[in-house]
Amino acid sequence: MARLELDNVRVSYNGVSVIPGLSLTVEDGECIALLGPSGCGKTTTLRAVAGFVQPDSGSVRIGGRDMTDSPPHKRNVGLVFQDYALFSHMTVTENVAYGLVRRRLPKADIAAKVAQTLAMVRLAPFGERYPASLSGGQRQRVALARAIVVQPDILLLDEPLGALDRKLRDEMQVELKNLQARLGLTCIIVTHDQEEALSLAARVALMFDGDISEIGAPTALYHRPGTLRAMDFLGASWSFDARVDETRGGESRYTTAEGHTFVGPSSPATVGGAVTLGVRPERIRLSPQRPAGAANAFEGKVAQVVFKGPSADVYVAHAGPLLRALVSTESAGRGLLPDAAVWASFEPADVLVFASAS
Amino acid sequence: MFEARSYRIVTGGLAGLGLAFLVFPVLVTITVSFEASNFISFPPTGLSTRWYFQIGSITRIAEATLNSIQVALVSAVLATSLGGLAAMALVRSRIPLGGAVAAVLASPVSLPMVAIGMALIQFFIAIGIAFSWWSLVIGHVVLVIAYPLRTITSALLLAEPSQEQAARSLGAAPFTVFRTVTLAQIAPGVVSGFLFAFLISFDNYPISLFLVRGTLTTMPIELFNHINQNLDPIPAAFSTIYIVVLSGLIALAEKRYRIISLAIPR
Repeated sequence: MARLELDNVRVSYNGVSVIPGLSLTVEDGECIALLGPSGCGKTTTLRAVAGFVQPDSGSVRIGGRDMTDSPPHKRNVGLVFQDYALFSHMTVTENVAYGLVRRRLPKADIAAKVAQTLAMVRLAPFGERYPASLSGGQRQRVALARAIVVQPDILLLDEPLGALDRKLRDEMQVELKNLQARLGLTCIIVTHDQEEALSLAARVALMFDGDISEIGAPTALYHRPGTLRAMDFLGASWSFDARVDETRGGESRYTTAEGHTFVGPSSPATVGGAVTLGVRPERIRLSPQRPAGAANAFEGKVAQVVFKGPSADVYVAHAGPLLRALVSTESAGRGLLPDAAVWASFEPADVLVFASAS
Repeated sequence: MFEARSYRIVTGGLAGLGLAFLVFPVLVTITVSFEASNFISFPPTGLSTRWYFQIGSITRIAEATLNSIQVALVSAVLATSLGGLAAMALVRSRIPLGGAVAAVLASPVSLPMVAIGMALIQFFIAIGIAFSWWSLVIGHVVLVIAYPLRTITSALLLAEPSQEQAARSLGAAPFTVFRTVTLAQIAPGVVSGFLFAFLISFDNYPISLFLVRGTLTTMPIELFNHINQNLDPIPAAFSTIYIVVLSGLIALAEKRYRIISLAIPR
């Protein structure tokens, strides 16, 4: 395992700039996620690390060595593809042995390492099977075994859980995390799925338009996103335009365009300045009466309730755009029927304040 | 509505008729080869295997067949290698005017063979290699290269490039990737392209007609010469052996490489 440094990497396809200049350092043994919408350049970044994309400028260093001009087969980088890309004409054992054979290891060593790795991913009995006869989760584990058996300096995972169904995803998430910690893998996970990124990585780099817009620990990024766009991407939230009325202590008072008055953390803008406020759906509480002592509360009417299993989305109509609140199914059952009057409230600490774009 | 019984009977009947029409000439040829009398007639007047023992009476048939096999093998190997390389270039790299290149390579299929034969022999005379064994092979390569080009192109389009990338990242140099991963993925296309090339070369009459003279000859040329001068069932006996051997070869290739069901992914 090794440290990865991308220094001002610039990539363009046919003259169109895809990554204008990206710098990123992944520490030895660290697992980082590149999270962003499709087309944000996260896969291109991954391909630049693997060597399938040649940067126009900048450098890629793996373990301190400059790999910018090295071909993919000389980089010692493990890749797990979204479609797994298993060699369909080879057995599971042959698939996993492929990289070891290329490294000209003695036959006995190859057999031992393959057996050990297959056991690690709980596929020991499947060595003689062909990929076509395996389930999605098993194929995923073969792809993982094939990539880690060669002890790559960096492990790259492209949407690793994207093709699995819900239950399997949850299982693999835990398994992948354990494996990463146990082997001390330096890894980059590319994903558009925030849950995948937040659960698997120690740090998440949020990418928009070919650049990292924010990077940080999953909890920090989730609870304190730096931009409105980041907040929107990390779980759609409710946002509204407001003006700063007053700033005192660590808090400010805001009046929204709809006329609600909210208290939240102090504003980056001066009094009278325009800001955008955001509140996460799971932070909004709904109650039949105005909750006593609530700093931020307003009345509305239930517009719709969307059942989602353990939770439900309750849409509340009020003066502004429909508000979405995420509540437990249990509480959604209590009086939250369409057309019922309801009070929405949230803590000042749950208000996210962003400088307005305009 | 289309599931109706009468509809199925009609479509099934039509399909059966179509298949029968395709198989009928083969059945006639096989039946005629066992004809007892001295002349081709259908239905047969009596049964005999004697014509099989007289195949050798076709002038130079052994020599011509051996030569046809050699020419077809070498042409098919050349056409498959060159067509395969061309397919790789056309599918995997962005070459300028790729569509035009593919069209030129495939053009012999859509040109009259007589025209190709005439053009080839004039060209070979001009460069001084006319009526040589290699000129015959080159002529056949021109004719058959379109088939492996086509089948290998389709196979490459079906192949997953991510498998090749996985191999690269596991430490395989480009040629190793081709040898260990790409080739296995395109094997059905390579085998079927090779078989097409071999069969079309082996069976070709119109182009060979222009390219052979004197000691250089091929199986279809000698078979036609015989038919021109005789009405006996010997060519039918020869054809029956030909049909049996080729059907066996194709069945083997299908079993091993699924060349007929190529389009259905494994």
